[in-house]
Amino acid sequence: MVAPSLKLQDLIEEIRGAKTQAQEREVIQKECAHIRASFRDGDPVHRHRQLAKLLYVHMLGYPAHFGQMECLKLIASSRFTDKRVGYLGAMLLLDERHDAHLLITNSIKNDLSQGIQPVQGLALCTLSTMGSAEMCRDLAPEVEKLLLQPSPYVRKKAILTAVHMIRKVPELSSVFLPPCVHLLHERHHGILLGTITLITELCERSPAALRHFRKVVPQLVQILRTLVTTGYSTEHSISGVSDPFLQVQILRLLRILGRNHEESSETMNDLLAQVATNTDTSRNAGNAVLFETVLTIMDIRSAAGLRVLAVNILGRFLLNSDRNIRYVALTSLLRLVQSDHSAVQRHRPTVVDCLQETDASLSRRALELSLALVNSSNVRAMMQELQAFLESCPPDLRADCASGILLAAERFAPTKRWHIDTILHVLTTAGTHVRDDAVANLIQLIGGAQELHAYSVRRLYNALAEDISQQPLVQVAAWCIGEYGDLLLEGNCEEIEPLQVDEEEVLALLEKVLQSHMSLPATRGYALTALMKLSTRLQGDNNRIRQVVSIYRSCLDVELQQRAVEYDTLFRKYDHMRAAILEKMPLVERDGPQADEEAKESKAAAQLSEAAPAPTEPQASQLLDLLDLLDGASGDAQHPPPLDPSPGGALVYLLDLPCAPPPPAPIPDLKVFEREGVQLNLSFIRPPENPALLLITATATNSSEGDVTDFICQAAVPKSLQLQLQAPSGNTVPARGGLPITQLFRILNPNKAPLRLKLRLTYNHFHQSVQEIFEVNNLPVESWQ
Amino acid sequence: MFTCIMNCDFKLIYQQYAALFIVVGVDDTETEMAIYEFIHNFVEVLDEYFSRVSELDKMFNLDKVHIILDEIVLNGCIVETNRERILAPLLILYVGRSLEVRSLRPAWPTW
Repeated sequence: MVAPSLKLQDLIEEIRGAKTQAQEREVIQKECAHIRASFRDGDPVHRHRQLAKLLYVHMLGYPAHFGQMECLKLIASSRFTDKRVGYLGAMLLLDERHDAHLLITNSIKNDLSQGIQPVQGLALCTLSTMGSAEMCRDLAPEVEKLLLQPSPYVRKKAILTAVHMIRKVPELSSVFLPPCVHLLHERHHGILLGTITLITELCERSPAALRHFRKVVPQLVQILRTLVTTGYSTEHSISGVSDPFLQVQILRLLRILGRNHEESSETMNDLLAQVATNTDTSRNAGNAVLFETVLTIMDIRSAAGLRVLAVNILGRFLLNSDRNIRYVALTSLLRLVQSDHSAVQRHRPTVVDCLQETDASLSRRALELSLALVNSSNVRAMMQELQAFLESCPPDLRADCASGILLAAERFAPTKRWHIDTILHVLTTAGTHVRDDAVANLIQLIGGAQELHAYSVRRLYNALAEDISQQPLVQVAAWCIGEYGDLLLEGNCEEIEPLQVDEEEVLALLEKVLQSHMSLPATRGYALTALMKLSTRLQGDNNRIRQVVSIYRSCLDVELQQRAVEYDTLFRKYDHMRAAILEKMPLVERDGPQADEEAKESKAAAQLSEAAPAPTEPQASQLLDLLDLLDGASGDAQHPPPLDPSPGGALVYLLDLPCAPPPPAPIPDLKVFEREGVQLNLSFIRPPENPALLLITATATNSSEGDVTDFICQAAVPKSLQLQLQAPSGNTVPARGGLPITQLFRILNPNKAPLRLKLRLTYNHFHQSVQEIFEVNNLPVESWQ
Repeated sequence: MFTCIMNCDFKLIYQQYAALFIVVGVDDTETEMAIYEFIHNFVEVLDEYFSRVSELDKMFNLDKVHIILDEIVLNGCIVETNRERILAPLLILYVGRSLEVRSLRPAWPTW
């Protein structure tokens, strides 16, 4: 034992006197050697002292396994001091993994049956701490006997040992279940505490026990009521609350019994209300009981009024000056916000105040709770608060805050403009922390809000001019400036103060983004494409843009190089197509990453077969279309005449085209009729998958000074061919190159008979009706072979 | 001030009393505030036994502290919270040795 042994005191003082780790180790090793020698000699008188020293050394973290057998010898001794140290050693040094532990079973059995209370207490304590399954099975009868003993000191320990036994050997629950109800009638708080714990353990393990113990709910309610309503009792009162530990345990058991069970819940309702209102909350003990009450109310089938009371209690906790109570309240409210949303909403201002906490874990919980509380009615106010928080919050919370704000804005945005403003604000304050798809989402959003194009591009330009380091912002801004550059230069937009922006400034800004070392390769790609688009939007000449593009033709980054080369060739060889290719993009499909420009390029091949009119096809796919046309692929009939293919194979070698079977050469168009400025052209398509089919598009154009009205075109073919006329696009061709009329003929020619076509035209021109019948000569051979 | 540190499925709740730290590890079923009360109760018991307990008391009298703790907690469940009942066995134990004990601690209450 510690007290009489100066040696142990000396040891402790020596250890504390050691200046360094090495010195301490030396002292301890020397002492351990002594102890080992003493164990070997088997000195019974001082054995407990040696073991006590060993336990001290063990507490410091040094190995002490050689003391295990000594524990056994000490436990078997008849002196209490020996037994005491022996059992303590057993608790600290022995556990299930060592075989030696089974050897103490016999000693424990003896001690339990001898009837000396302190010894029994020791044995029970040790058994409940390190008893393995075999030990528990062996000693269960003894413990059961002790449950019924008169002395409360031993009984309370026996009950808790039973709890441990049930955990290790669930079959023993049948042994310990019957005495429980009887034990509840005891008045000794220690026994009550133990019994409640035992019942809780039994109920958690088996639903049958749960049903069995629902009967005792009235009794528990009675016990708790007595506790709450009794006045000050010297025995158990802690800071004014009588035995808060017992109260908390009873409340916990009531929670388990009342869960999903109407009848029990109803019995408890009054009591819970009483506890909630009567408990004194000036000290922590009262708060602990109150908190447990709140948890119980939320878990059982309680009345609505009671639930509101519980949430209000939590709200009061939020105002408490003690940080820990606020933390606990925030955590619980977070759990409740799904089920009792409206009740928690009432405390929204307090929660928002908690965002300003200095403690990181508190502010994180406040942030989560605030985000959960956003709904359509309070979204504007909440967003303001959250954005203010975003500016000042610590960096590790920024990502969560930003993505939370963006999600909430998406769900509850009252107007598009507000939504765009919010996202813009988030990008400028926490741009580096947003998720990757925020860029795509914002682009899609801006694209969809047509009326806000001018406004968005202006704001983005301002933001970009200030700061080009936030990559998501730069990407979105570059895209917008490229798309809506003409709106930017117009100079007037009613929603922001007018800003005179020069063409050169815009180009300079984009170049700056291109050259900046802060820009990611993807950002550079955006900027380059934006510059290219501006070449059609801006009025000035494109020398500057052409220069920049040609510089990047030799860029080390392959992606940029590819783009630059493509754009450069666009300038040099296909300048007439540039305007159509770089027209405004249509609204993108919102299906995740496929909304990206890059992903669409891979879908371009699939889009070739779509019959959409050309100007609205995405520019990337048009580029590939162009290259496929050079190869001679089908698809040319769908493009308006300016895009007719001009064979040029140069580009084919520079770029990887998807491998396709060599398509047939395109059939040249034919002008079949001309009179006073009115022209009729025929263009032919032979789709490769159906060799018998021939599609002819007849296009009527008018370059004269008078309109052509009531235009009708009819056709006839030889009997061996089948002809199908589709409805014309209209019957009026306005003067001076107005919108032409197109009409599609479908001719089926399975026998490959020579094609002959007779056309009849009727229309009104210069207030005269014209009728023309003629046969088409010079039909190309490829159209029917 | 006590604080909790969460670590997947269990928490550490600690309280500092001058140079003494008391750390309790609990799982999800326990509530923080109840554990705080428990820590406080434990310290008060120690206080009553050692009169104005300090870290050194605990070190030099480790086994007594263990006895007290074993009276309060049994395998993770609270057994007894009443101060007198907790200290009763301890005092009975050391009645025979009170002389030596007294020589170490001059302000020893007489029981």
